[in-house]
Amino acid sequence: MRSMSKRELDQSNFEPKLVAFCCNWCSYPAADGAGASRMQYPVNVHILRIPCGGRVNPGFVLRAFELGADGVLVATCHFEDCHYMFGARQAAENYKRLETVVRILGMGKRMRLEWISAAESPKFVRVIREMTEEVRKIGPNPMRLRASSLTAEQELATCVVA
Amino acid sequence: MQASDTGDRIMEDLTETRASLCLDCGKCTGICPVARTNHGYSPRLMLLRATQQRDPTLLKDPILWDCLTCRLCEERCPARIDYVGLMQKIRTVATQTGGKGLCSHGEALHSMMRIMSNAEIKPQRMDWLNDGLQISASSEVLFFVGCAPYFDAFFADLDVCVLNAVKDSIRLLNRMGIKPRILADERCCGHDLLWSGAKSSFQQLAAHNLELFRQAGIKKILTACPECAVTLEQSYADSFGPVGYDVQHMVEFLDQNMGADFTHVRQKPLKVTYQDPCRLGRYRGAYAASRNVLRTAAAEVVEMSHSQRRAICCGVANWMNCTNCSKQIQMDRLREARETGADVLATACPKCQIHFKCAMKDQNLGADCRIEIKDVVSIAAELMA
Repeated sequence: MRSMSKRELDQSNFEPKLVAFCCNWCSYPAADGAGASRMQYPVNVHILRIPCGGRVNPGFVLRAFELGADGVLVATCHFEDCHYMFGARQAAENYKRLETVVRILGMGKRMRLEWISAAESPKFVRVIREMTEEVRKIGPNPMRLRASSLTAEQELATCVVA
Repeated sequence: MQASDTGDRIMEDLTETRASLCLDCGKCTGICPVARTNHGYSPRLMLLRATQQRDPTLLKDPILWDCLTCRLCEERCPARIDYVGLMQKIRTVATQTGGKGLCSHGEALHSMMRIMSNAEIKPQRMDWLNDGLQISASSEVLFFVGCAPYFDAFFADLDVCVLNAVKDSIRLLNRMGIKPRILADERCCGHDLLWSGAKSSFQQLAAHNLELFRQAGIKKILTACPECAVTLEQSYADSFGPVGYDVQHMVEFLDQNMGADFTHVRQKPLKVTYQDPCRLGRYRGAYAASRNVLRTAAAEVVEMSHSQRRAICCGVANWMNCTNCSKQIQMDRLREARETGADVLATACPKCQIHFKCAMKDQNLGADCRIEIKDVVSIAAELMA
């Protein structure tokens, strides 16, 4: 995900890569439903299925940015729908802490928290469309701009993920 | 990597750090705060595994990351071995061969620091500045804010206010007629990455910061964080040669420059005990500075049973291997602080503050472990008109 070709770097050809953390009980089925109902949404998103939105440690999102994700979506259940009662609130709490850190790092607009229930496939599609367009306007994640700026430890981290 | 190759690399380090002179006396293990709670850890055994046994499995052993690098063992060592230096070197080799400690907070802080090592990012870290603080765009005196804005955001639930110490430092400097410079694009000093073995990320951060200081023509750096002070001065010089600027921690500067006009009388007496941060105490030898500043700020200083050279670390270093042993160290230390009868536990390091506040977040913790924690600089600024 990290290195970019010259063609990609050209703003007009830039295709953002989004990472979406989707909770197992609501947002992931919503994405599944979008596929089953043949709704069209941008192919820029990589969906990661997680047991619960509350599991999204700030470290996950920062790691995604470190490895070059242009945008990160955290999608959970609505508060009252949470399969684990407090998971969605936990997700919101984690997100609040993370939001400030990411904003200070200068990547605040690349991140979004959404509550998408299993019945809200159209919402999932809308969010992905909006985010893709927003991130396209902002441009590539600076972490991808210069492959040479990756340090040995980041290279190692990449190997672990791959 | 071949075992012998690794062995050779460690061997080089052994001469540099005098580790081959180990007398096997075990005083290090006797005094080590980690060994006291974590019975699997022994500095002496670690050293023997590296020297006599040249044990290649050491590089993959999670215990390698348990050392707090607090340097307490070096106070006792009759052979004057640079144990933490050896740790740093072995960790660097271990990181290159894929070894890794257990990073707290899902590695968020390490990721954050590694992101900062990329020169292309555009941090927006000046939000906290307000009109009351006077800074200058051309001063040769830099105030290095470091990771304070990130810590305040990340540890918001702990009521951590590292930025308060930064703001108070600038207010005190203003009062002395100094308008420090603040650099918008400064990055993390790299301390935690260096000590957790991520040397190449550290060098990138250091190169970025050094270039920034050079362009700005900085002659003196002040900071409210002992880790930044040690890194900006010592570690940068070790990696890049002479740095061309002076570094002082705020308490060292205040100790020298806080004149008699700062002396006030408190309406309500304040009894303070002081936690010596490892980097300020054993690394920089500034034991008296904080205590003098506290006394100038009209606080009565009472000492814990382990203080100054014998001070115990706050339990976690480099955001790594935070375990129940760390918690035990913190509880013991907090209890010690309470036993002095002090109202406030003062410290001069943001990390000590974060770690103790985190330990006290435990609701099952008894009242004998609860004490208010404040930064020395903030206590000094309290009485300022």
